[in-house]
Amino acid sequence: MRPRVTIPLALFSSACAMQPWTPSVPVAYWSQPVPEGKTEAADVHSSDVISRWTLPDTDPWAPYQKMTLLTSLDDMEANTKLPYTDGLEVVMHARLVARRVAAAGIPEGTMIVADMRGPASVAFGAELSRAMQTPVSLVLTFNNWPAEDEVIPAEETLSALVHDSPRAQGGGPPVFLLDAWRLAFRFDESDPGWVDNRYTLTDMPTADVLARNGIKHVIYLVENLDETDVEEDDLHETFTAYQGAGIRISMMDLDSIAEHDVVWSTVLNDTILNVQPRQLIIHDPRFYVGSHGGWGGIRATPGVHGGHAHWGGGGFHGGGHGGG
Amino acid sequence: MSVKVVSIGGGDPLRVPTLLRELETRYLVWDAFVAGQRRVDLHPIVLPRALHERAVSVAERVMRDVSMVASRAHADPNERALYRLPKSAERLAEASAFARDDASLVRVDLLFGEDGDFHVCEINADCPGGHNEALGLPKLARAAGFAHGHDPTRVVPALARRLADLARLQGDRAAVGMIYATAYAEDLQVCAIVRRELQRLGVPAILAPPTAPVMDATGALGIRGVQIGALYRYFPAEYMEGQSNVGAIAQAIAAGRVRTLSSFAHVYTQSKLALARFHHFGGSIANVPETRDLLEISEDELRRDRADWVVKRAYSRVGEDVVVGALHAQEDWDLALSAILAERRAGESWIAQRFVRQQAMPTPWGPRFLTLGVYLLDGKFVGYFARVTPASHVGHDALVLPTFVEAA
Repeated sequence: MRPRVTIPLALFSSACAMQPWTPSVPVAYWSQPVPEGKTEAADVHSSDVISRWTLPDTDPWAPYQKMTLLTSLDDMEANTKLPYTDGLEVVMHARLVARRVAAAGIPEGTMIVADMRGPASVAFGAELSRAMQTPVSLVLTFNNWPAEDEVIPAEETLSALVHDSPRAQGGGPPVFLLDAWRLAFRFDESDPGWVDNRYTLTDMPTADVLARNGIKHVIYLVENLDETDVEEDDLHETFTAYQGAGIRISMMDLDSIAEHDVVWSTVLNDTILNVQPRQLIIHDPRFYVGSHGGWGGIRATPGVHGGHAHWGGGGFHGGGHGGG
Repeated sequence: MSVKVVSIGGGDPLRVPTLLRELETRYLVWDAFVAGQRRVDLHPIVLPRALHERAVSVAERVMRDVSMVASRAHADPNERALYRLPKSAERLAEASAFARDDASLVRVDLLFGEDGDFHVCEINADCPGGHNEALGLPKLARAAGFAHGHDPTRVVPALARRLADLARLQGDRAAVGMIYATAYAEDLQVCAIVRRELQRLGVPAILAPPTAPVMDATGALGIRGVQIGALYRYFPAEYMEGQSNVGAIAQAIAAGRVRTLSSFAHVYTQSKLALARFHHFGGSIANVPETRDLLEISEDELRRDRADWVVKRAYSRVGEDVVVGALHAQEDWDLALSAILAERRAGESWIAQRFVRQQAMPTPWGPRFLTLGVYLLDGKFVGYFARVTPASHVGHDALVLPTFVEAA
């Protein structure tokens, strides 16, 4: 795999291209490089890894987990070496923060959405699960594969999943683990030969589901608020709906937890995110044009030719009287 | 004769964690849940043998006759213009027609009508999906204890064998290029399951975006330096407009250096306008509801006989571009119709199709309507992709089920 990572390239053509500052922006432009590790794909038993991370069927959050990334293990070249992510600063930082959160306990009725570089989100979740006195439900949302000449380094997150383990999964408050790489490079034009393995989150629980499960507060955890000021574009509509339903969202970064003893009543109130209407790349034709091979080009833009790039006719893609 | 859904053991077999895991990890169905709701189940549809034979016969005949009408567009520029495809798609179609590059995987969607017969509402001739469910659900139904009937679906292995054969026309080392929109997991899962099957056959296959294939110095098509003998296309032809490699792909096809599946030659059959042209030229099969260019039906009739009509964008790929009059209040229908007619008059292609009144069948979830997708590989039956819905419109609430045929 040859990920296109950490290189500021000619991507600073316009500061506007990076605004607003969502979690994917700092990840894309200022991430610490990750070294190659020693583990080869052939050494990994995918079924073991999948078993470790899968939520039990009875867990109310199980329908939202995605096994997509984990299933790529069986399709990797046997001699592919997974990167070594454990030494990344953000990973170590995330572990420390997880221990602090565990010590304080997760406030009742709270869901955590960890939107950091993939290995950091994984480390946060695994450490939290092990350090908590009570169980948590870690929900994987990683929904694409690594590839040759890939746009984002999906194997980083995969490696973290391979090398880390939660305590027995499920039965506690939901902790959604997101990879902030997923929408990196916003309006940059992809090389036609690259595999654009970015993706959007399309399947977060609705406000109704949260309410049914007693969730009244969402903690949105990002790496660094100095470089991030709003939620990622693919969460905007979900968070807007949460807000409209009276679910409060607190947006905080690792430092805001790591540097102080956690007093939730203070932290949660001091970090309320006010989700404001804004332009989203997922509605912008430039985004689809910039990655024709990944997102489908101009015709895939919602509202253009009535389209969106779900043409398969499989699953929920339509068919019958419904089209295609 | 009737179709039925047979309950396996009266319970919910996908509650067995091993079966759900197998669905996700072995058959790569990563979207078994959408919005927290199950999108697939294992209680099978069981077709009486006679209905199975009827479905196969209708699908094969309609595909043959409608594609023959659609193929007029290859030779007749006026006919071609009616389809309103981008020039890039026309060029690719021309290259395929010229080279007799005509392999196809098609899914003909049949509605089970009140009259106990099947009626064609769609032909998915460009890049039909559903492979993973078609492969996995019958096997998991067996694992869950369903021991009756015959599983007639072999679309994935048959497709892989066909691709392997096409690639080998260019030599033993030629690979299969599999192009899809790489940012969508639901498209990746289709290509990934076919690639696994190709690997079992010893044929190399490369997953790549549609923008990746380039022509090498010898005139062959390649991806990342590997020669591609066959191109599996899970990407609509009209979406390729604007790609810088369209010329190279067309050139390689015309020169016989690569074979495609589905061939670009079938892009006209993909359009719902092909059904309208079929009727326009006097084609008549009882199982094809009357379909017309939207402007061929008077606006008064469309508004007055709302419950008799369905309007669809000719190249719609999703249910959102379909308006079923019977499911809408008059006011909503009138509003939608005004907007759609304006689009049509501005040059967009829309068709009107007679509404098919469907027969509800009993299922463990209550009465449901059946849309039976019939896969045809090079015009011959290779399996089913079945969905049931509470309303006569397949949308996000469709449930995908395995299909078996009653033993003789």
